[in-house]
Amino acid sequence: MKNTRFWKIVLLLLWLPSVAMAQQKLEGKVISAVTGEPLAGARVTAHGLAAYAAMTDETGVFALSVPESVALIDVEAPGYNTVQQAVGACSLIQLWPDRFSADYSADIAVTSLRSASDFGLSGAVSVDDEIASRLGADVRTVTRSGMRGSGVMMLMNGLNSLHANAMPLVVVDGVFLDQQQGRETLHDGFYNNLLANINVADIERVTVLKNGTSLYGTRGANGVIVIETRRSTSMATRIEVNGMAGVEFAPAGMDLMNASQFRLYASELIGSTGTRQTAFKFLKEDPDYYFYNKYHNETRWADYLYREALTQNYNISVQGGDEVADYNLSLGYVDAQSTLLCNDFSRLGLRFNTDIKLGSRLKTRFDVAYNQNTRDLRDDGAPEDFAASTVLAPGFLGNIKSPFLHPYRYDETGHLTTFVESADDFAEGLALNSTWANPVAINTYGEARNKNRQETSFFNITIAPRLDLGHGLTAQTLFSYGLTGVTERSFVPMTGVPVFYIDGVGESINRAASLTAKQESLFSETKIGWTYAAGSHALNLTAGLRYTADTYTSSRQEGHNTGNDKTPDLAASLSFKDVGGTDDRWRSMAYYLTGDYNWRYTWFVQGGLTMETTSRFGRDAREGICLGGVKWGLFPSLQGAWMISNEDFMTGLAPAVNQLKLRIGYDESGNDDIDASASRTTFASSKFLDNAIGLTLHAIGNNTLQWETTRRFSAGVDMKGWNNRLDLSLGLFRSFTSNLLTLKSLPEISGENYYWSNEGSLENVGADLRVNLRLIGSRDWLWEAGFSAATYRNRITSLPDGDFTTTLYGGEVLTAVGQPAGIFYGYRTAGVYATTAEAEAAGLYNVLSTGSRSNFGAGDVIFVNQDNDPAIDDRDKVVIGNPNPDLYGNIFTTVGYRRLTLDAQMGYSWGNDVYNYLRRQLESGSTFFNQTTALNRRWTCEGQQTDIPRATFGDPMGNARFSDRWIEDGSYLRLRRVTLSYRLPVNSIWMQGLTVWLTGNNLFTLTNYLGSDPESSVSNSVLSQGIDAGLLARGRSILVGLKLNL
Amino acid sequence: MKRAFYFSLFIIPFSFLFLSCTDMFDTKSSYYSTEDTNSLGSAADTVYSVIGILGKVQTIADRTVLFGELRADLVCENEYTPSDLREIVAGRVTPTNAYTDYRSFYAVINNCNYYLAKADTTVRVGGKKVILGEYAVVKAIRAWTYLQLALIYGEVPFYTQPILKFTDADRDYPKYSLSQICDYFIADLLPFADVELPSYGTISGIDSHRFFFPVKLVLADMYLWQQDYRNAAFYYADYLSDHQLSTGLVSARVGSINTSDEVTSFTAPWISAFKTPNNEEIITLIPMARTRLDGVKSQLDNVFSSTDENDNHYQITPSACYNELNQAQDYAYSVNERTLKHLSCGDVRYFATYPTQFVPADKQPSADEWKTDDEDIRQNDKFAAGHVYVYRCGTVWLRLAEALNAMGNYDDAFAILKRGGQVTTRGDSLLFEFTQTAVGVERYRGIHARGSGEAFRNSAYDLPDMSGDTLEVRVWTRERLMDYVEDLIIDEYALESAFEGSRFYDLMRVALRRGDPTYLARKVAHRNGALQPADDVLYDRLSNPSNWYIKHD
Repeated sequence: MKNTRFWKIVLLLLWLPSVAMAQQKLEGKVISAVTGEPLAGARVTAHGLAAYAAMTDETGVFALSVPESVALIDVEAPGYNTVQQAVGACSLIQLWPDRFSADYSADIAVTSLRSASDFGLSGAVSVDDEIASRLGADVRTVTRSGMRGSGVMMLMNGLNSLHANAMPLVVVDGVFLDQQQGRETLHDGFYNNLLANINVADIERVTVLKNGTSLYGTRGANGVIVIETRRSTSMATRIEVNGMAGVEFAPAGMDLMNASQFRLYASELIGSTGTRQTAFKFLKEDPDYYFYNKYHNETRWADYLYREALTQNYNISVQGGDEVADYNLSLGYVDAQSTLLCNDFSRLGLRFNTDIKLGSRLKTRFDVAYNQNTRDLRDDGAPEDFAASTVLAPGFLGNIKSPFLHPYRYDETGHLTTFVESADDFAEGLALNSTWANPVAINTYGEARNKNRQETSFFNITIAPRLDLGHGLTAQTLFSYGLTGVTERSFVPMTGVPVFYIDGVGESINRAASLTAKQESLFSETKIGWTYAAGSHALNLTAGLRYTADTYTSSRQEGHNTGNDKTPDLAASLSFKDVGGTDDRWRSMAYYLTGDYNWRYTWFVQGGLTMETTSRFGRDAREGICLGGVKWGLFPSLQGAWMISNEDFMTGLAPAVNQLKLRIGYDESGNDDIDASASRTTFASSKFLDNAIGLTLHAIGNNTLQWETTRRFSAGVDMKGWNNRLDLSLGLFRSFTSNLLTLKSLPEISGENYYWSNEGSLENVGADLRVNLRLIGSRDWLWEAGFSAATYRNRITSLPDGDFTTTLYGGEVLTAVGQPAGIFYGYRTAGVYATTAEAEAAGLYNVLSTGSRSNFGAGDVIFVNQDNDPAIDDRDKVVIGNPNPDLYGNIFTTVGYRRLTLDAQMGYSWGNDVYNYLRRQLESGSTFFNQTTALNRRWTCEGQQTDIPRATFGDPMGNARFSDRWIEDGSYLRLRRVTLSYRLPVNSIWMQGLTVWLTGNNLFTLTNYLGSDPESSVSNSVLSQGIDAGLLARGRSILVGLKLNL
Repeated sequence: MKRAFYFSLFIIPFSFLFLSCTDMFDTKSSYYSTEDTNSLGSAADTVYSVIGILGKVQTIADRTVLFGELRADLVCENEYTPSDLREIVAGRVTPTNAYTDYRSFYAVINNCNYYLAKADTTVRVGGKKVILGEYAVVKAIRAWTYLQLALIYGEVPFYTQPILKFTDADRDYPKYSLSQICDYFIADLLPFADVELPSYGTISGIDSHRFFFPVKLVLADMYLWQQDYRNAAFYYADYLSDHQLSTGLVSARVGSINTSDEVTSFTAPWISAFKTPNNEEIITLIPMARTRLDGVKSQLDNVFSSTDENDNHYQITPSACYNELNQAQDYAYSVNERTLKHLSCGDVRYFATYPTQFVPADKQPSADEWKTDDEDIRQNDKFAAGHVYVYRCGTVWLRLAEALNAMGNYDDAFAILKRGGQVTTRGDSLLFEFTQTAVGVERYRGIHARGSGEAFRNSAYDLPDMSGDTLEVRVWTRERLMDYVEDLIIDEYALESAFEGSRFYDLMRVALRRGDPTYLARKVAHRNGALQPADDVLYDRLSNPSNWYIKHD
C-alpha cells in the first residue's frame, strides 16, 4: 500500500511540470572569442529541446523564449566550436573557432570518459598508438616494441587483476573484440595485435570509459575502450583520399665493444673456462694465417640487420547516401617496412558501413569489414630461456655477435664473397651450445612465403535493425559474426645456424613449425529503450539482452631436422615432432537495465544493473544468483552529477567559470578472462613414448569459480572557464577488487598442482587531471596547450597462499600483501670488491647446489647482506624496483598561423623502474656474447676500484644474478609526434580541400635509461610489467602526407 | 498488427535465450574431456586411460630408485652431488627438499582410482571380459605405488575413490602404515591374482606386457613385508613357474685373462638385459621417454653416469662397501673337469655395470674425447637404456630365496644362490617344488653364478660343513644357519641389483625380521668400507626405525 502511494507521487512529480509550463525569455549576444566581432547566424537552442531555437541577427543578438525548466542552452555556429551555457549567464557568449579542439559534447557525461577523434592526419598503423599519444593519462600505455602495428599495452584505473587479463575491453561499433590475449604465437617476442586489423583512417572516435562500466558485466572491470568507425552523416557524396609516405630511421643501439676490445675480453674469459685447449684461431695475429681474415674484421652487425624503413599508407573513402541508404565505403592499404629487416607489415582493408531505411520506423545498420594483415617475421628480443633453443632473434644476435667476425665468407685468396658465413666457432667446445647463429643467414635462408610469415585475416559482418515504436519507445537488435584467422609459419634454417643440443631432447639442426588458429565470434544484443522528456525531467530507460558465443581453435606442429633449407615443410619423417593446440569455446549471456535521469540538465542520475552468466563460471559459484540452473553475477552501478554552473548562484561567476560539473559514482564490474575450462575437471591426452597416446586427469576444476569483482568509487570535477579558454577535468577513484582469480595450490594428495580460485584482493587509488588552455587566439594565430597527468597506487590486500614470487626473464617479481603488483625482488649491490683483503673481511659466500661454500673474492660484486648470516641467499633478497609509474600522461600543444598548423604531442612516465634484461645479457661478463663498453671497466687486477665485476665464464659467483644492477629508472619524456600541416586555399566544385602535412615521430626522448627504449613490454601481464628484453626499439620517423577532399 | 509483428521480431530472441540455460553453458572441446564425457565403457577408451596411467608412473620412476638406493649402503655422495640428493644419502631430508613432495605418487593413485571407479569390467567382446586384465593392471599399479609411498614416507594418507573436486582434495584422509597398506592391497589384489594381463603389442620397440606389474609379484611383495613368508614364497614361485623362468637366464663372465691372471675382457649378457629390455630377464620396467617431448625422460643416467647434460660430473658414486663386497667374491671357473681356477677380479657384475672403469688405463679415452678435463668418467650401464626396472628375474628369485629362508628352508634358499634351477607350483595350493635340473647348464645356474663364475662347483661358496659332530657343528643352530644364508642373500642382492632402487628396503626387511634395527643402521653406517670408521651419527639415527622414513608434513 505504501509502495503504491510512493509511485503515485513519483509519477505526479514527473508529470506535473509538463502541464503548466511557464516561459522564460532569454536574450544575449554571441561574439567571436578571437576577434570580438558579433556572430550572425549562430544557432541558439535549448539543450535537449531542439524545438526551442533562435538565430542571432547581424549584431549577434538573439532572443529566445524557452520553458522555465530550461537551464542550459547550446550555441553553435559554422566554423566554431559549440558552447553550452547556463541560461542565467547567456548575455554574452563567446565562440572559439573550430581550429581549436572541441570542449563541449552534445551528451553531458555523468561518468568519467574521454574521447579522441579526427585521425585524418595520423600515420599510425594501429589505433592504440593514437590512444598512447592522445589519451595517455586516461589509459596507461606502454609501447610493446618498434615492430609496426604491435601496438601498446593498455591498463586503466590501476591494476585490476593479477593473473587474469588486465587490459581493457575493446568494443568496436557495439561489438566486443576478443583480443586473443595469451594465445600462442611461434615467434619469440611477437605479439599479434588484433587492433592492427582496424584501419586508423576508418575510425571516427575512440572513447575511453573509466567508470560506469557495469553494463559490460564480467568484462568491464579493466575499463572499456569504445571504437566507432566512420559512417555517412549527410547525403552529399564526399570522397576523401589520404596518402602518406615516410621513412623510419634505425634506432640507436647500445654502445658495444669493438673487435679489439672484445678479443681481449674473450681471451680473458677463456682463461676462466678451465679448458686445456691452447690454440684458438681468433687469437692468432699472423696476417698470413689462413683464418686471419675470418677473425679480423670490425663488424658493426647492426649495419647488416637494420635499415631505414619506408612506409606508405593509402586510404580512400566514399561517403554518401540517398533517401534509402547512407553509406561509407573505405579502402586502405598500408605497407610498413620495419627498421629491423624481415619484419615488414602490410595491410589491406575494406570497410563498408551502411544505414538503410526500411520504412518510416524501421532502419538498419549493415556493416561489413574485411582486413588482411601480412607480416614477415623473425624472433625478436633476448630469449627468456637460452636452454630451449639456440638464439634466433637477429636483432639480439646483432648485439651479441663478436665484432671480429663477418657475416660473409672470405675465399681462399682472402677476398670477401657473397656467401653467408656459418655459425661462429671461436668459442666452440668450451661449453655445450656455445656458438651462435649468423643473423644474416637467418634472414637470408629464413625468407620465403612458407618460412617465416604471419597472416591475420579479420572479417566482420554486423546487422543492427532499429525500430521506432512511437511514444519514445525503440527496439533495437544487433547481430554480428566475426571471423579471425591466423596462420603463422616459422622456419629456422640450418645454414649459418649452429646445431643445438636441446636439453632432454637431442640435437636440433633446423626446425620448421606452423600454427593455424581460427576464432569465430557471434555477438547479439537486443534492447528496448524508452525516452521520456517533460518539463524539467528527462528519462531514458533501456532493457537489453546480450549474448556472445566464441570458438577459438588452434593447431601447432613442429619438427626438427628437415634435411636442408629448401624444404621447410612439416613431414612425418622429422625428428622431435611436437604438436599442440587448443579448442576453447565459451559463451555468455547478460540481461541489463540502464536508466538515466536528469533534472534540468543540472542534476543527473544514471544507474544500471547487469546480470550476466558465462560458461567460464562454476555451477556452484559462491556469489550471484541462481536462475535457470546457472549462476548469474549482478553488476550494479549508480552515478550522479551536479552541473553547479546551471544554478542561479553561479551565474555571477561567468565567464570566469563557464561550466562546472561535479561527478560521483559507484560501480561494480567483473573480469572473467581466464582459461575457458578452469571451472571444470578435465582429462587431456599426453604423449607416451614415441607412438602412444594416454589420457589422464588434466586439471581439477573449481565448481565455485566466479568472476573477479571490482567495486569502484569515483568522483570528478569538469570545469570550463576563463571564457572557455580553460578546460579542466579532474578525476579521482578508489577501487577494491576481490575474488581475484588466483592459482591456488592443491594439496599434494590430489596429485594435481593448482586450481583456479577466487581468493585474494587488491585495491587501487588514483587520480587523473587534464588541463587544456587556449593561450592565443587571434585572426591569424592560435595557440593551445595542455597536459594530462595520472597516477595510481596499487596495493595487494590479501593472497590465498601468502606472498609468492614469479620468475620472469631470470628476474623475480614479488607478489606480496601490502605491496603493489609487479615489484622486482632481488639483491642489492654495493659495488665490487677491489681487493682480496676487502672480500675476506666481508666474509660473504654463496652456498652451492652441492651444499658447499664458495667465498666472494676480489673482483666479485658486493651483495648487501640483509641478515646476519654471511651466506648470500634468498634471505638477502629485498624489493629493488617498482615498475608502476608515479605519474604519467601527455603534454600537447597546437600552434596555428593562418592555414598552417603545428601540432605536438609528448608522452611521459615518471618514477617507473625497468628491469633491463638486455643489458644483463650484454654486461654479465660471463658469456662469449659481445658486451657493452661498460665491460672495458671490468675488474682485472687486485686493488682496481670499479663498478663492473671481473669477467668469469659461466658466472660461478652469480655476479650477474638478478640485482639492482639491472634495475633502472625508466622515466622518460618523449616527443611522440610533431605534425606540421597546411591547408591549401582550394575550394572548387570538385575539390573541397587539400591538406599537406609533415610529421615527425619520436624525434627526441629525454631519459636516463641505458637501454634503447624505456618503453617496452614483453607481455600484457600485470606481473611482467617493466621488463625490457631488448625488443626492437622505435626509431625516429618522418612522414609526409596529403589529404584530399573531393 | 504491423507493430505487433515488428515487436515480436525483437522479443523472439529474448524468449529463445531463456530456454535451457544449463545446456547452453556446457561448452565442449576436442582438446579435453570432462568427467561427464570421459566414459570408460569400452576397451578402446580404457586403453588410453591405462597408457595415461603408465605415463604418470614415469613421473615417479626416478624417485623410487633414488629413495630406495641412495639411503642405503651401496652408494655415496661426491663433490658434485646436489644438496637434495646429499640429504637423501645422509638420511635426513629437510622440508625444502624437492623430493619430499609426494604429489606425483598421488597423481598415479588418483588416476588409478578414477579408472577403477569408472571402468566397466563386465564388458565382453567375443565372450571375453576385455577390460578385466587392464583392471587388474591398474589395481597392481595402484598397490605398488602405495607400497612405494609407505616405504619412503611411512604413514601416508590413504584413499581409494577418485578426487575430482578441489573440496575433496582438502579433506583429511586416514593415514595408513605400511602394514595397513599391505593388508588392504592383499585383499584387494587376491581376486585378480590369476587374471591374464593384456598386451598392447609393441610400443616404442618394447613388448608392452613388460609395462605391467604382475599381480602375483605385487602380492608376493606385500606378503613378504607382512612376514607371511609362505604366501610370499608361493606367489613368487607361482609367477616364476607360470613363466618358466629359471635362475640363470643371464650372466656376466670373464672373457679373457692375460698371463698375470688379470682380466682383459668379459662377456656380459647380464648387462645386455638392461640395455635391450626385450628379454626374459626383464619382467616389469617403467619405460621412460627418449626425449621429454614423448613423456618423462629418466634423469638417473645424469645421477649415476658422466653425461653431456651433467657436464660429465656424475653425482652418485658406488660406495667403498659395494666395491669391497664385489672384490671379496671368489670368481672361480673350471679350466677342466677337475681343476677350478680362482681369479682375484671379484664379482664380474661390477665390471659389467661400470665398463669404463674396467677398461685398462692406457686404453681409456683421452680427456679431449670426453670434452672435459675431468678424468673420472663413469658410465653406469644399468641406466644406459634410460628405463627403470621394477621386477627382474634375478631379483624375484632372490626374494623367493629370502622368503624360503625365512620360512626355515635355508637349504632351498641357498640352492637358489649356488646351484640354481627352476620352480613349479601345482594349482592353487601352497605347494611348490624347487628343482635343480641339469646342474651346470647356464640357464639353470644359481644366482651367484651370474657374476662369480661357476659358483655351483666352488666349494668355497657353501653352507658350513655340517658333517660330523664337532662342537663347531653343534653351535650351528637352525636360526644361525638362516641368518647365515640371509647374509648371503643380502650380499647377493647387492651384487645382483645394486643401484636399482631396492637396497634400503632389502635391508629394512631383514632388520624387521630379525627385530634388530641396528642391522640396517650398521650396514649403512659402514658404507664407506672397512678401512673407514663407521658414521656414528648415521648409525644412531637409523637405529631408530622411525628415522627410516622421509618426514613429510
